[in-house]
Amino acid sequence: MMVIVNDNHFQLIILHKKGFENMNLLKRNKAVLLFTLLMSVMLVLSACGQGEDNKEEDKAAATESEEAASTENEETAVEEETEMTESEAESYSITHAMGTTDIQGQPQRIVILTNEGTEALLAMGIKPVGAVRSWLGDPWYAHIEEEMDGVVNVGLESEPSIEDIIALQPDLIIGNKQRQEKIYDQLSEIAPTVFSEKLKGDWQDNLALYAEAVGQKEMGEEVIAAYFERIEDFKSKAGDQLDKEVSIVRFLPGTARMYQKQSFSGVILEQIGFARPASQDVDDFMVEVSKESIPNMDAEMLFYFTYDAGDGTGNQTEAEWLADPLWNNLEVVKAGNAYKVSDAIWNTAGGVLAANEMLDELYTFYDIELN
Amino acid sequence: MKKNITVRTTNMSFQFEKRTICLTMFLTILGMVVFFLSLSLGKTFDPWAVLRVIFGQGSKTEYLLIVQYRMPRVIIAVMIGAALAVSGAILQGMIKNPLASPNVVGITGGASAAAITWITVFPALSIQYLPFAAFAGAMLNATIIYLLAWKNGMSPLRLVIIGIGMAAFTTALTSMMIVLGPTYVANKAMIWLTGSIYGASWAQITVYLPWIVIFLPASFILLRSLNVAQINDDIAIGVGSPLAKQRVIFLIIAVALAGSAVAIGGAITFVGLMAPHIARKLVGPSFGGVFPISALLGAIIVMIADLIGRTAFQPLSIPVGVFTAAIGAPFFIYLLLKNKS
Amino acid sequence: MKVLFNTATKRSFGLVMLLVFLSLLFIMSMKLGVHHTTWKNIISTFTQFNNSNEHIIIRDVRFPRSLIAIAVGASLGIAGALLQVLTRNPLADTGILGINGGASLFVVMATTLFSVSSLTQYTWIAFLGAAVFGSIVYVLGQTTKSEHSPIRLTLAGAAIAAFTMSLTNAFLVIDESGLQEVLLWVSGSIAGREMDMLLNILPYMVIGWVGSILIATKMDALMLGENIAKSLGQNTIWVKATMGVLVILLAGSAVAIAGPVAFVGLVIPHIAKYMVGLHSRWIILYSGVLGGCLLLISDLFSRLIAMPRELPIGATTALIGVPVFVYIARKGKYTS
Repeated sequence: MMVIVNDNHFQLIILHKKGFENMNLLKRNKAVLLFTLLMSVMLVLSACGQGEDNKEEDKAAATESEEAASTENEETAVEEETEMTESEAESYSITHAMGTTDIQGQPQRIVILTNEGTEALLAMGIKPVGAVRSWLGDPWYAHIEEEMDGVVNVGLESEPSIEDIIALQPDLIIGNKQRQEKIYDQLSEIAPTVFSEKLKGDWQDNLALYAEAVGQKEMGEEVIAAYFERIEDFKSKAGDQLDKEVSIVRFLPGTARMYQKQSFSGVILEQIGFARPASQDVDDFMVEVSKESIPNMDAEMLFYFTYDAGDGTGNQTEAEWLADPLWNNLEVVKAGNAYKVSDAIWNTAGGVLAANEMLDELYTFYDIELN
Repeated sequence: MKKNITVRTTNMSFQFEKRTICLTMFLTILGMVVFFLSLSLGKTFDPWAVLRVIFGQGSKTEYLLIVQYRMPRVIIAVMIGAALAVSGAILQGMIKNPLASPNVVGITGGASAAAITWITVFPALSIQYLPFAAFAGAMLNATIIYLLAWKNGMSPLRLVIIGIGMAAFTTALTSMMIVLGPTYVANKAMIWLTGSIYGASWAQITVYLPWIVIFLPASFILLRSLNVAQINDDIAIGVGSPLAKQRVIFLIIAVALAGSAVAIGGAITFVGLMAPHIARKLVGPSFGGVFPISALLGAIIVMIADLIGRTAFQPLSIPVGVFTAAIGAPFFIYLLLKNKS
Repeated sequence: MKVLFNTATKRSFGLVMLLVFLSLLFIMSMKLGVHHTTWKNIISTFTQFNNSNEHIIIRDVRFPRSLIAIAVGASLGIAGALLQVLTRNPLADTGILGINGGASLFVVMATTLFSVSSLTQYTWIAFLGAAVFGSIVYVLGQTTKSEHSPIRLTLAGAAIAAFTMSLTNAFLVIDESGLQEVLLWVSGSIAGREMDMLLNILPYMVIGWVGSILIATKMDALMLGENIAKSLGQNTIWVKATMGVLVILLAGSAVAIAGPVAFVGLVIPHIAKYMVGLHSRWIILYSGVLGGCLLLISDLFSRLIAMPRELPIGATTALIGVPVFVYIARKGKYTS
């Protein structure tokens, strides 16, 4: 094979050929000087930044108290204060995924960086000043839209806008290690920051942590207890309906998934004590499948939901699968027990409010008197 | 007027065009302007706040915003841009092909595959190890490419061809890892694969700085030999020849620069391709000019791309790689057409 | 050059053997999968369809999928064979030269920017993308008029491929598409494809296959060199242009249905050449059948290895193809 490389792109200015053997002498080279100069300019700049760092900190610390006082935003603070009067301005410390954080007094301006966290706060009657955008909805899920009126949208859970968070001047930031580990240090500079360890189907641990972080430990326990009361109620009234297997299917653009026991809906079904089909009675989160797996979705009840970010591709996949002969061959479909439910409530939102709403829907589906 | 400035020593001399020096100065100033703009621009445009902070008069919010948030991000942009650009300049010089760049020859691919594998296999481990995994991946892939390309000596062309093959291989590995990994990894993986410097911090700068401080000047000191290597033809040469050694050294520098940049910022594309080209266009082919000008241009390009990504769609932030691709794409096509005529 | 089948009879025999092998793979592909099916099921599906899950799976899922694998594999294999002659480059492949990536990019742009979703439109857009980027790479690969440098061409292709991939990524990130779609447009996939899609695209593919077999006689002369072909009285420009159109037809339709599946077009013609020597018509025929086999094997691997999940088929072909690529690249001499 012959190769002809013919780039007249590179023409050279070389004066003395033997020069390259004496590379050490290049040190006198003006270009090197220039370049070093350039680099040192950048170094100095960055050093400035770090120097600034220390200088500023003292100053910042000094002004901190006035700032916090002056910026208390009345319209958001009013309703919180009524519920939080019992906790005095004392400091407490909390241990979380990134270590231990001291929190001074009762946090008033909370920024929450996970969607399940938003629901946890709302359930405790706390309105954050800033929250990450809901995965569905613009910018909030339909079921929290009203309560979230006036809350600042700080961007996506995966990359929230630090700029917006700073502008909100929060006194507590709550986030999650899986999502925002990279920016923990920066967030800590802005305000005391508490991170939960994982995002999982089981939301109770995180809620307990968030409740502790906002100084409302008892309130958090109450919210969880109320939820479990409802679970028990459902359990006692459902009777042998619990033995009917429940299948959970989700459609996404171009694909479908079966949700298993560690998923949000899976955890709730497990807590109630519902039976699951073999394909989903697995201690895992979910499995993505092709149409060949449709027969494995069969059960006595089937709930499906569709993730569609607004461009119609998810709904298109749903329509395609629902028309498939294999789908229509499912016993549960033939019996008319396959129901479409909300993707936000049954899966994506993943918080305590959604969990309670999902319970509401289950009460209706199983024709049990709502408690 | 004298066009060139010549530096002479006892047995060698080196010549600089005035043009190069003027341009370097101009670009340095331009870079500083963009730097300042990047610090000033966010939700609002407030250059006075930057000045206040610099002179120690800013409020706590201004300090947080400018010193803790924007400044490290812009500095990382500068470092990554410069590193990718110089790496691209080295590769283009060494391989003698204007289309060579860190992502064409597999450095980016190796880093990406390693990073995604790392997130998939060790989802519980802290994300702070990720850059090391990515860097190790870049190094490993480069070593594999080098070994596979070795056949009675080293030919830069075989190196790049094998590099292209390995780039495809790592892309395949990356896709597999994404499919096999846990769901939330997918989101991280996509952002990684596009390239993002979101969350850049001072801590990151301290980790990254040594790479820049060692390898950028090193490349510059050694650049003279690249000039020489370039006029030599591309005959595969045996072990032990000075040219072979130099190629290895340059390759290591190119991989170290691009690998560390990718480790911090993900797979940011086109910078390593664009910057050296514009530089050559501006100052001609001598690497004495191409290196510093490329570095400056790379820094400016990434700064601007990130500035747009950070501010244009608030509160959403668009990965910087999207914009380097958006700026790079038209340029790339222009380059291709230009190259023909 | 060592050739496996050195007479016409042996070549015909070899082709029949390959077709038998292809059929075996095809039957395997109908039999194996998440859902358990028996051999009997496969036969009864086509003789007495009874709407059972087994029959539906075989008829609606595995049968179209296997046919698509064969059609896409054959198209890519033949496109690779044409491309390697056209560019005089043993490393040519519609994936490596960025043609698949170009088609992919155009489809993604059309869907994200103009919400195009009909498959017919997809196909034409894919053709357009393949044509645009194919021409760019071809033109770039030329050093002087009509003379190609393999390295230049490969590099131009790789740069184009990297370019289209990062743009495709960027479009998909901004559009917040599902990951599955991202993987499809970056790595290729034939999961969930239906018979309709194949039938829509088959006419173009068939034109490509038949056209390639017809033009093969002209390729023999071209393989010896442009000047020899000219001295034999061949209108090389016309021949090369036709080959280019065929490549675009084949690659474009393959991408429209399966996304950018790489390396099939690289690996297959080399195996074909090893089997039949430098006889273009045989090379084309063998490339088609071998391409079908390779994609069926890759698809089986993709869906069986991590059941019930599926790997993108393009990733599998790349893992198979890269070692071959490296081997061929090492064989070449890179000197002037």
